Amino acid sequence: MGERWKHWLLPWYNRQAKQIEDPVLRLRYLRSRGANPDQILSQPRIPLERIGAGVLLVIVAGFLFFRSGGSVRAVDKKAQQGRGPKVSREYVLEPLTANEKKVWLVEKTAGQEVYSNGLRIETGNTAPHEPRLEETVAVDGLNFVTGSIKPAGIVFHTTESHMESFEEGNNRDLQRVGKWLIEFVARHHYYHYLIDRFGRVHRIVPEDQVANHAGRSVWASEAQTYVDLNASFLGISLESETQRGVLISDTVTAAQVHALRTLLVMLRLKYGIDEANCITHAQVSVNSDNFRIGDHTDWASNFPFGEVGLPDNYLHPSPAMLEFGFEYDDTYKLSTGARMWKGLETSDQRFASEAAALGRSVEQHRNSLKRRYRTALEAIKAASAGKARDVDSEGSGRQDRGQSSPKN
Amino acid sequence: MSKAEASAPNGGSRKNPVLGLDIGTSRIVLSWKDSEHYSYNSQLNAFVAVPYTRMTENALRREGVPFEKHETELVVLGNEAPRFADLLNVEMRRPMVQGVLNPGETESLPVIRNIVETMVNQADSGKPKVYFSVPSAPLNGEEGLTYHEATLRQMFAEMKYPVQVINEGLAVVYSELEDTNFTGIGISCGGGLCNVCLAYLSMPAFNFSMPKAGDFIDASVAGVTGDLSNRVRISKEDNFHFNGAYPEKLHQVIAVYYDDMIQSLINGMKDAFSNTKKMPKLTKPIPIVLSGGTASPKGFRDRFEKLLRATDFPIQISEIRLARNPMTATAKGALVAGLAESEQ
Repeated sequence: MGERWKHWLLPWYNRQAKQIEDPVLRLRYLRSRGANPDQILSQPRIPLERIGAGVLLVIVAGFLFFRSGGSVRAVDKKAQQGRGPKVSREYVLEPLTANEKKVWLVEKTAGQEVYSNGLRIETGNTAPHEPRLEETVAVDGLNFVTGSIKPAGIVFHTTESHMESFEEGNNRDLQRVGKWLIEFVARHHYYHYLIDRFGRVHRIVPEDQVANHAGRSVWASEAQTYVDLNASFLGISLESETQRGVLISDTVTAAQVHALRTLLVMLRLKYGIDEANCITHAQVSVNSDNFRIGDHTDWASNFPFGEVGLPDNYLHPSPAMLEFGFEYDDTYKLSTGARMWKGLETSDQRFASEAAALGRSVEQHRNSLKRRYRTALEAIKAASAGKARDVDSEGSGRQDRGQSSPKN
Repeated sequence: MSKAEASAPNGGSRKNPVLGLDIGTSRIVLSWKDSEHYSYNSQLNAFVAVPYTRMTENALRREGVPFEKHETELVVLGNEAPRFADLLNVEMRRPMVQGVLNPGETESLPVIRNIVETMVNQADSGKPKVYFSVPSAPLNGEEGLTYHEATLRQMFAEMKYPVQVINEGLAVVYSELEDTNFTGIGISCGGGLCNVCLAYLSMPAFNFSMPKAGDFIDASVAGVTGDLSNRVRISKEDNFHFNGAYPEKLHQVIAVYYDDMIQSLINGMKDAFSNTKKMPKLTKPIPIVLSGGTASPKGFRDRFEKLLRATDFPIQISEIRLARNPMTATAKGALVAGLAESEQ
């Protein structure tokens, strides 16, 4: 296929570059994409039978592109000093109403569930996966949750997929792209729920089963620390792409926000999920190779916490930093919003305080916590390998969770 | 020229890792960046040789005019050249013609080198990397371009400056079209050529040059009115503007040849964009930005737009705008390209 597919990424480059204010840095970013001029030439008409494959490629390319760091790596450290990303709007808390405090299933048909708060879940694309299990690993006398039958929290994602202009005239394309996207994520068991651009909620993986949405990840509540959230948290993705510093309404539709709110209310009431455990992928994602947080940056800024009835969880300190010594880099900081910076600052301060309280330097403390994480990972892998052996002997298997998600 | 524009790029302790240089047929423009500001220095790419006398030499020294002393003549360089040409009623000599080194001028390279060295103020500088502009090939060939670029590279090598070349039209895009992610058509209307570059997301897709430009107007008008080309140029740059009514015959004739030049440029663009196989897949209209000294007269943009809109142009154009500073856009674009490529 050579380089030809890359021309699909040009709209991505265009959008990402527009987030860079400095013209020189913007030019550097565009030139660093390494696009060959041949890529921008008019392409021969693609036969209809290849369009389906093309769109799937767009989706895959989107994932890969974001995985590679996207635009933010083009912006260097100096460019960020004293100048942060724009915050799109003030945080608006819209607390739950009385009617939202009790929700029940009204009707269940072959392809749909209807709930008393207006939530409708399309179930026709549900793709069964492996069941959730209660699992923990013990390191340094501490227990880390690596799986739970009852969902402990919710991770919000964006699909980072191809976005058609949201206009009536594009109705067919919008529906076609959305349909392909659902089929794609269902095939790979990427999330528990996907909310398309018209606000329809699609169940992808049943809630009592594992979805591949946040494989390398860390989060913590006051009571528990969670490692590898695939098997302990639910994953909800909105058909959209992260755009730093733009209005929420440019990122998701009002219908999506409304649907997410109704879905969240149902799930939180059903499982008693703490509001502090409802967070974005960018907040939990880690890279265990370089010990940086934010390996994925979907919803790194502008998640409408207030609009969906949650407190501003961007302000929460990073458990990956405090529990396992992860750090953040300028790339991550650039891709996040000012709200999350407060959480990072709190993490830095608390980390330094804890190191001082233990009589360690910051570096010693960090190295100690990194060892803890490596040990936890090894324990998870060993447990996973043991289970695989057990299941192999029964003729079927659960895949290694350490490699469970192509997104991670 | 403002104080900032006139200051030397390497004065004091300032060091610039990159300089942008527009080596045009008519002018040489240097650009550099002081903290957040772009600064410029411009010299006419021309000279006049006057017979040597001790009295003339003393007069030049007294007035601080840059010159070179040869055995039998004094060579006045840069911005002072037209004044002396007018005084002595002789034509200026031009190191470049039609956008490239003038093959009929033996002094071309030494003169350009002298002007460039003076501008860069070599004595105080390190050796910044110089990004200098080169024209595009004309639609029907590449004659002269290879020699032009290679000779200038050699000149900078002898001066011990690392260099990188940038297409003139692309430099205009880099200077002016950051708001469209460097997508659009950059046109530099200079003395010898009009350079055109269509870029998409900073990548040059297609570029070419047209031979009718400022010098064509000057020479054509001079042929009709009997004036010297230099006088036509001065009048064109100082007083001429498109207003539909020209009390002076000189301006009336200038307007005629301006129209000829603009129409030729538009026709050339139309043919080139219609016939090229290198056309990018454009999903929405793109802007055109005009720059260069020949695009500077008041009303040029409106005239260009009127003639373009009357043409069945093959590309949808969102707007036609004049560069923020038409005289320095190419140099600034070369600098922006250099800064984008340099390590910070």
